[in-house]
Amino acid sequence: MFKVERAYSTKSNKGEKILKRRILEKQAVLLDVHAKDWEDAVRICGDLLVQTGKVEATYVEAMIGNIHDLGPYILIAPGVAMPHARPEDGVLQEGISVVVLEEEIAFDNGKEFKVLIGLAALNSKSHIDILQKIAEVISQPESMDRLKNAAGYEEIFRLFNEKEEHES
Amino acid sequence: MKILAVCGMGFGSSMMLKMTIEKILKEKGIPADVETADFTTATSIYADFIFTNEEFAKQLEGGKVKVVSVKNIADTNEVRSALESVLNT
Repeated sequence: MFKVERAYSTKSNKGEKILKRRILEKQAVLLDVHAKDWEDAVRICGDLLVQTGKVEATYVEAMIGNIHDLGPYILIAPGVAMPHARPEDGVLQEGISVVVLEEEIAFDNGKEFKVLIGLAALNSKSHIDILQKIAEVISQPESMDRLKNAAGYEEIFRLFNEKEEHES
Repeated sequence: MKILAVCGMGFGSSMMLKMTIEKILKEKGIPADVETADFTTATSIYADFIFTNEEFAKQLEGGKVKVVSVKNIADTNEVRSALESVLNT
């Protein structure tokens, strides 16, 4: 079983000044994660946002609560889920976390996912650039493959921090 | 023409879907407004079409508004053909 502690032992950014805003921190990526069910997977994904100082613990509970209330609507592409809650549920800083599971896990309706992209947004406008980046990654079959089969966190890190070519 | 992009909270995946729809509308030169809404208020907003994921599509279908379900909300090809099919009907 994958040791989640590995990510937790890294220094949290909470209370520290961030000079350069990054969408994705290295410590917010976990690969080959074993989760026992969808709730466990979403919790691991949310905890990464807590560990990197993006959200309060209440946010993770809200992420899970939303899925219980509204169903697994967070699937944004086949095999990719984007769990999130509202800014007022405890967002401290904008950012994302990425969890790639060892093997697919299904929601209650049978829909499976292998990748979770945890989203922390401060308000409904400011996170557009983050959404654009995520959209860029999941809109191309090649980058989707790289995401699902990443061999190391560098691969994920590169995917989300590569130069942006889109215009809108 | 007004298109409503719907998701659970109205600012996550619906916003992403809105960006994809707008990209295609621009490419095709179709004038239309695209708005986002959360699932609970979606039915009370006037729109010609609702674009949403499969989960919500099942629940929103059956009303006056034509509902389109999208699997990959960032896939321009999927959204383009979905848009083409509803505009031709």
